[in-house]
Amino acid sequence: MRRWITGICLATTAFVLLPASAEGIPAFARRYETSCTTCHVIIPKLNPFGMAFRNNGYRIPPNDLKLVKSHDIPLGAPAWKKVWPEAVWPGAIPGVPPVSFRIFSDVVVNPTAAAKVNFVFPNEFEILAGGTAGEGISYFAELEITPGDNVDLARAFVQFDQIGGTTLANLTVGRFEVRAVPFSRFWRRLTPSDFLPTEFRNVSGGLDFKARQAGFEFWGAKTGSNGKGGVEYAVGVVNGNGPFADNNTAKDVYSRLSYKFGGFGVSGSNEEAGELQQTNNWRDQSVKVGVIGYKGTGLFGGKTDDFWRAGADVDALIGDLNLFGAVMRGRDTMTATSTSTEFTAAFVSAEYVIKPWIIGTVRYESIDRDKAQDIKRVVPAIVIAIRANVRVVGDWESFLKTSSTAGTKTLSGDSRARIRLDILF
Amino acid sequence: MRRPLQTALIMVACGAALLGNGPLADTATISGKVTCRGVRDCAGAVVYIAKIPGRTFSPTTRAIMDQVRLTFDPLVLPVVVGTQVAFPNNDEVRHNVFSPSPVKRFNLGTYPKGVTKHVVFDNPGVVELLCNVHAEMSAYIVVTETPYVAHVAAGGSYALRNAPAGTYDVCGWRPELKAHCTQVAVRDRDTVQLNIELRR
Repeated sequence: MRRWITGICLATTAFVLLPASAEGIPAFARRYETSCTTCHVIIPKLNPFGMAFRNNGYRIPPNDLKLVKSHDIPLGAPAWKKVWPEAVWPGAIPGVPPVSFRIFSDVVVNPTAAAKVNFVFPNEFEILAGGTAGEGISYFAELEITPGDNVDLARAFVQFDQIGGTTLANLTVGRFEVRAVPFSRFWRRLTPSDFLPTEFRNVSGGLDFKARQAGFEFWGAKTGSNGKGGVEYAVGVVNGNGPFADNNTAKDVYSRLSYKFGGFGVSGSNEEAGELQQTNNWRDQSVKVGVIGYKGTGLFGGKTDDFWRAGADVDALIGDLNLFGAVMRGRDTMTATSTSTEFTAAFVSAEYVIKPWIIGTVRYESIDRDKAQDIKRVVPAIVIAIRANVRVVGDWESFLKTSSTAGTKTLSGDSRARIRLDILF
Repeated sequence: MRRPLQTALIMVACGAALLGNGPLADTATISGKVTCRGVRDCAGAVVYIAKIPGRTFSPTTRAIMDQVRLTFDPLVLPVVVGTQVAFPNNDEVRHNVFSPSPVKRFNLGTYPKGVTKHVVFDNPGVVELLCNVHAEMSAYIVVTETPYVAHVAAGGSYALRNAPAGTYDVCGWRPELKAHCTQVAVRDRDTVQLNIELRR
């Protein structure tokens, strides 16, 4: 019994210490001298304008220069382009360091744990950097520091933006969250608890979409011809081994294609704005549907795992209400024994903006593994922005149905609550 | 203070050119607003009459591209074809002036404070100026075939006063944006409204 309780405590502790990073960073707010609410509903969830900003390589479409307040320091006058290739192509660096910080702390309440109430203060300290390096290049980096001298360079990538002058052609190189993830845990998730299909592992040591991958991603976005919605796509090749160096020659490949019907353009408006809108940016009337595919090979414990994932997602914005969900089918085949394990993972979520600073949300999630193991979870939550850059969020992970899952240490079946205080500056 | 002085010099030059080459019947005004897409503002933009068939104009009588406080001054200097531009170094450090532009390719070398060098610009077009010592320095000489040039104000407005009657192209240009020309027909004492949009 004591061993069992210890195991639960360790699993819970490990889970709450897992990174839960954001993509909304005050460095951007400083650069444009604008509020977080320009790009976020409540941090870190991006609103449609914020997604267009991201799709433009962290630039405000269609004319970033008109709205930026903190000027770049030029590395060579623009006319040096005329001298190339006899001289270095001119670039730029930010006038103020593009660095931000984040601290979040959790109170974890787990009725079945030895410590029913645990103060995880702080859970994590992050150093975030993001910005542009003149025309056509941008970057993002995130360093996570957790208690116990744990330091992780969670993400660090460089983007070659708008290759050939179109938002349809961009290349990301580095370590990043792949766009095959149905809904980002960095800039979409409001709750401390992760999307269950994202954190789920079908086999022990196998792929989960929570891991950031090292590789190349070619992607693009283009607003529709009517100035609304539009198409987004991504194809990528990555190591597939998360934060570690690859342990096999085979690379993982993936793709994503989505189309947004109506609403704010995915790559922004064609009209230059005189100033940034900082309020009511969450409202949109749109439906986005997407499909994803991921195929790879893993090597763990001396065993080779050939696997694939395929899925679809829907994201509907109806005024103050956001309904979204995804379904994913996957199979892992251990080549040595030719044994396969299939699963279906799904979730549906509703988020409602009650006031500009308060969001109520509930999410229902399901994992059906080979129709033998069945997990159902519901996560209600309330998110309160006590300032534009400070939020308090409380969620309750309630397992309606559980069964042990070999590869998924977090799915112990403990229902628990968390209250998080989150500040970015 | 430099821009009004420069405008005055251009007007003087225009007057001299008109006195020397044609009748004093230039009474029209072409004005409007310039919109600059993809850049912060219209700083450095100019509007000019590209060419008037059958008329030629004398070079600008006095044209100076100064070098002070690690910058070229002015950012944009319009001159008539054939103008000799002076490049004094009035800074505390040595500068180099060169142009990679096919309109006028030259390199004046590196020279110290107190030295002035000269270049004649004998073809129309935009000439980019750079300094090999200071990569952030740049300026532009807009070589036109007429002296009718207006600097665009901060808000984007411009006015080409004392323009001649006739049919000709009016062009707008700004650093980093493409020139855009529109043909207009102007009669004596006309006031023509022409808005210009410049893009990358």
